[in-house]
Amino acid sequence: MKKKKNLFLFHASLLAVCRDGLYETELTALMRREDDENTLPLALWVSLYSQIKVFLRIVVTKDNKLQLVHAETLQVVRQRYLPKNDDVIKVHSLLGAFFLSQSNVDAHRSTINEVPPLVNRRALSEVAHHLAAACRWGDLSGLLTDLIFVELRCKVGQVHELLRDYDRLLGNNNS
Amino acid sequence: MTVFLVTTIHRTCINFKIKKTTTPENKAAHRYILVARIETMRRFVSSNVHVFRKHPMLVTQQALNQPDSSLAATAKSVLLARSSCYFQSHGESIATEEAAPVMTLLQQPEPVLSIAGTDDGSLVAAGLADVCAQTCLYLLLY
Repeated sequence: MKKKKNLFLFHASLLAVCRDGLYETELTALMRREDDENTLPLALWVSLYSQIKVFLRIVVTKDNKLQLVHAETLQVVRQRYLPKNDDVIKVHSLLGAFFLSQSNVDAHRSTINEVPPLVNRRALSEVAHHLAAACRWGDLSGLLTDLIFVELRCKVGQVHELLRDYDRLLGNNNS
Repeated sequence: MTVFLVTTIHRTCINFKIKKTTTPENKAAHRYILVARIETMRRFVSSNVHVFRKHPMLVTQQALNQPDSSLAATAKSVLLARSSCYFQSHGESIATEEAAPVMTLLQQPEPVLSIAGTDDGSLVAAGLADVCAQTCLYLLLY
């Protein structure tokens, strides 16, 4: 019961902190219980999903995106589960680390003679936002000044989003 | 006794150095450097938006052409990392601004007798002494 409550807390926190929802595959990967597990077991996920689905809006895409449906729900989750700023930063840090690993920047560094790894468009667009929100300035500046990262974002058509990320970071640092 | 004293002084110096690196002044200096690097990169991207939107593969090339030496150095390291499977670099000649990069093609089992490149500079074909043709991506045609 306690484990389920923790999972619910974690699940709600992730959805409350993310920018515009999370895909089911991302949620199950983030909520894996141990390092040797790739995702949360399906039985647990189904049980958890059936409890929380009334609060969720499902954006129908090829891989359903889940968002908290009401602003009130978001407010309650923030008040109850993420009361301190440190708690929010921790969840952002977790999401940042997850998207950083998914963005595969290092895998693109020296792959001329192999089949290039897939470009994760979603991870590339989200990683900077979460690293900035987690105040991981070192990681963020390393990433934003990496030519491979710049090249990948240009490849997936995110040049203007990249410029917005620079502006956000420079704005935060100047303030 | 002398050895002990020297070791103690050495340790004190190391401790002092560690403490010194975490001072607020150093943090501010580090932050200043990071901000400067990001500003450089932002300027670079914003001045090349029209190029990068259509030709994202030219990011490294454009960085190499920048007057900013740190950006060009980063671009060189990216190119070297990418082409290390095909080329063996001759360090010093690459570092100089005037000289063209001098590199040796690797993975050639036999001596190369003839060579030809495509017009766009993306591929190079080499004819070997054992009557085999070998093609590879030619990245350093700058």
